[in-house]
Amino acid sequence: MEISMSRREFIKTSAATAAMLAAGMSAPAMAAQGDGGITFGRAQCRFCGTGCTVLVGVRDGKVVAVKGDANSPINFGRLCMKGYSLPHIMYGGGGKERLTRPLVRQEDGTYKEVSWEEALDLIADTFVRYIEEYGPDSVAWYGSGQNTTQEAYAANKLFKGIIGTANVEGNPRLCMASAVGGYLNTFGADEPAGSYDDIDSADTIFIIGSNMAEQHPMLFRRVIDRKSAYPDRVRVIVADPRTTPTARYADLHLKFKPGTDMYLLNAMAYVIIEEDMVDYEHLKYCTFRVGLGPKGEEMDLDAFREFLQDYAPEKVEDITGVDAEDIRLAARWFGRRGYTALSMWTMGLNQRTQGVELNCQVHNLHLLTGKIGKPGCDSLSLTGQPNACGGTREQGGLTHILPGHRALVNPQHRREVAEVWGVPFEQMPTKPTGPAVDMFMRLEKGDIKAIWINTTNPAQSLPNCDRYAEAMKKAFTVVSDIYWNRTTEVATVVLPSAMWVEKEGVMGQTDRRSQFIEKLVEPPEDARPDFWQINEVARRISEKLGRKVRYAIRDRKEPLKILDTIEVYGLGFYDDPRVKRGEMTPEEAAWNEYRVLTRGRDVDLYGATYEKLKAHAGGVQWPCPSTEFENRGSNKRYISRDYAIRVFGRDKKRYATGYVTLYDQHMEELGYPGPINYYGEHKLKNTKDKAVIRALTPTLDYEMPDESYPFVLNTGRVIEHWHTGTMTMRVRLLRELNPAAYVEIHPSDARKLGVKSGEKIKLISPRGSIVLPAWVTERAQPGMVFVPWFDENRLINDLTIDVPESWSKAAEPDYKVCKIKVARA
Amino acid sequence: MSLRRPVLQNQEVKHLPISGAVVVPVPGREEEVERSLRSLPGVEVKGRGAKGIAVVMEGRTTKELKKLSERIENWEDVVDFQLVYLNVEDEVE
Repeated sequence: MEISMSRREFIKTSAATAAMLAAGMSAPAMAAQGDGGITFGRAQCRFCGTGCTVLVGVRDGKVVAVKGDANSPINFGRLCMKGYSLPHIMYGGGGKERLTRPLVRQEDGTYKEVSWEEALDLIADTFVRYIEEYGPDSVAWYGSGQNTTQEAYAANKLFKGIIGTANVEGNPRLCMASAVGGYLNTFGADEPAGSYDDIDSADTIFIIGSNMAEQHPMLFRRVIDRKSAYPDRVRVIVADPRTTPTARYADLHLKFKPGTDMYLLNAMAYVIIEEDMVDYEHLKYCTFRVGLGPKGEEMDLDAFREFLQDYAPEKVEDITGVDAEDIRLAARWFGRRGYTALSMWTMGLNQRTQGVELNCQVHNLHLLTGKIGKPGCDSLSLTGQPNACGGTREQGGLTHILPGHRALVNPQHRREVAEVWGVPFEQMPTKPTGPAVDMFMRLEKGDIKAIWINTTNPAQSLPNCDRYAEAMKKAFTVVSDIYWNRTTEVATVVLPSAMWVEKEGVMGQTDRRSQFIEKLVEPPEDARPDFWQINEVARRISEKLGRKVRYAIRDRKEPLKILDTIEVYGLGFYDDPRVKRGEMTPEEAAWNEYRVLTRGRDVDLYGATYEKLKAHAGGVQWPCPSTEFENRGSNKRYISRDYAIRVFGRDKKRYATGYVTLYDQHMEELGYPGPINYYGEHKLKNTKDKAVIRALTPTLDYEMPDESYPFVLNTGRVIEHWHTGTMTMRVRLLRELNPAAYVEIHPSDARKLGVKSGEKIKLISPRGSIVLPAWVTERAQPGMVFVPWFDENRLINDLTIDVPESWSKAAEPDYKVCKIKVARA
Repeated sequence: MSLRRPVLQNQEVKHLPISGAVVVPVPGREEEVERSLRSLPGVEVKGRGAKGIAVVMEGRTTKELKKLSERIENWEDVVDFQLVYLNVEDEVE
């Protein structure tokens, strides 16, 4: 279709308006409904865990434009190149590549188009047959940090509430599990205290195991803004074995040898104590323990100092490959008195054998220096997916957890959830089954007969992926997705899903934030929202099993108020009379029920009404207990005593812990005393209201190089592509910019092998091999190569490690350190 | 319908994508940067604000816009280039 001049002028005016506003100029007001026929609606970006707020332009039922929302407190109107590609991801191959009809694999391996009724009946019949024959643990759900919270919640209710299995896992296990373990071991509760706002007042910014400039570019833009505004005051430290663009920007790059960062972090703690940068006042609110877990022996600062003697920078510089003076400088910048410090990290720490320990070590630095709970100070784990926090960590989308940061093994927690779900307490599973990779191992063994994989591509993303693709092919595997990919091609049933703004939902990001995604266009042909799919299967399964749900019809603003109850087969959301009358969506019904399960918990989203989520760019940050329209929660989960006095003008005995939550502050102002804690509850003795500094003896990753396999393989993402490339490889610009996987190899290694950029080299691990073109670059380091995993035609995860000994204490696989040999191809 | 993994197809580009952006000059070099921007084909300067120079850009493809952006970003007198709006409707049709 040709763009007419008037229309073209309209688009240019829109572009000019956005640019002028972002440049700090006044610009002519643009109506939300433009005369160019484009209507803008609000959503959250579909890609990473930053959660940039975007305005999505729709014309003639199609997404045609996108711009950053200038009102967003996250991205302030900016977007990255992936964000600007959002319209393209919906219409891959000119729209012809979307999955649009349910498919069932036939005996000859071809797929037959079937009706939704046939597909859903087949799924329900098969699942019920296995449940009745082999028990509830013979079926499983494998979801995603890209599911909306309502989808994840519906699946959780179906599998744990109706079927009664804890076989609920998802790809966040491969992504954020170690971070959860770190927060739990240190603070007794998951998720960070601070928020993105801390970047804007941070003096030292410590980035470890994260290529923010490429993978969280809008957050890194805030780092650049802060550094540019105060170039002499702000110091950026990057610890990374690769010289990434993030590292190149840093004032100090600690290019440590792969696998040795536990030594590096202990050395920084050593310097902080040795050079007297400890905040002794703050240590009153901390306790020291040996090792991880609930049985750690108690120690004091002197014992901790003694423990660190082996990790003086001069003693670890050979191990880490980092000059002792650089380690000292990093620690001095981190600990300097009168300055703030913020740490950020992602997969470089999480996807590691020692993932939980590394997270705790970063927390240690903040606790020792008291640089936490104050503006500009936080230990902030960045998430990789747009709803890993909301849909999985908060909603309880893994085998061992339940909604509202509850534990499956806790009978009281199970009882609370069963009550809200309207299912018998006895129907709930009592014990976790196993984490993600273990789930696929049980699929391979045949213990799990049927699995539903939703919005994720494990045949490409699991470690040693070919092994599990085979297992998926043999089992009854249902895959819901938008495009054909490595996992759909091993599916028994493929369900075509609606994506992003073709459906509505809520997503929750890194800094305890939940945002609303508005439905703006219809999905193509017969594609349907995953939420609908889950509800339809749930209705069929519950009816076949004869298990009704007592669904509570709740007040929309104050869902604690139950207006009526009905007995239904299924999850109940589509049976709500207001949904049937078209007065509210079933997704809102699910969200309101979920809000009740967060009430009174640390992750309190009770106040996050649909009305608020729709109205506010950037959504709501928990804790948000109040339904008052203007209350959008808090950018600080916990604030320091000094800050509380300064802001609220008072100090009370109950603040003796040194910390008060804004949650409690709000509750107190509302006349509700509420408990006042420092973070969560530990199982350790003498830790009430305290955070735990862990003395952790460094270990190396499970698979370090040896004589047979002398190189380290590191894997990760690239700026142009996201995860397995299912979406971004369908965007021409991104595909042309980065069309295929390659190997980053250091010039010194390339010389030894006699290879130049573009020539092929072979990588061989104990599990598999691959041939890829070389990119000779100093981004790598001698003895370490890097390969991205977006390329479905070159599966680097055929080489990565899947054995349980390589998992972190939170069962997250190690994708960062895997031994290989390298040869000319 | 092909049931094999779809071959990714190159889309025909028929018309011109449009973008809006903010160019942040090195302090004291605003005039020079603005003058240079005005001389670039496909770039319209819409004005200068506290946070930078507002421009609208047109190119034959988004890739061409990307190259133009990178060219500007690499100027010595430019601190930052921020894309804030992109219309690609011709490319998604």
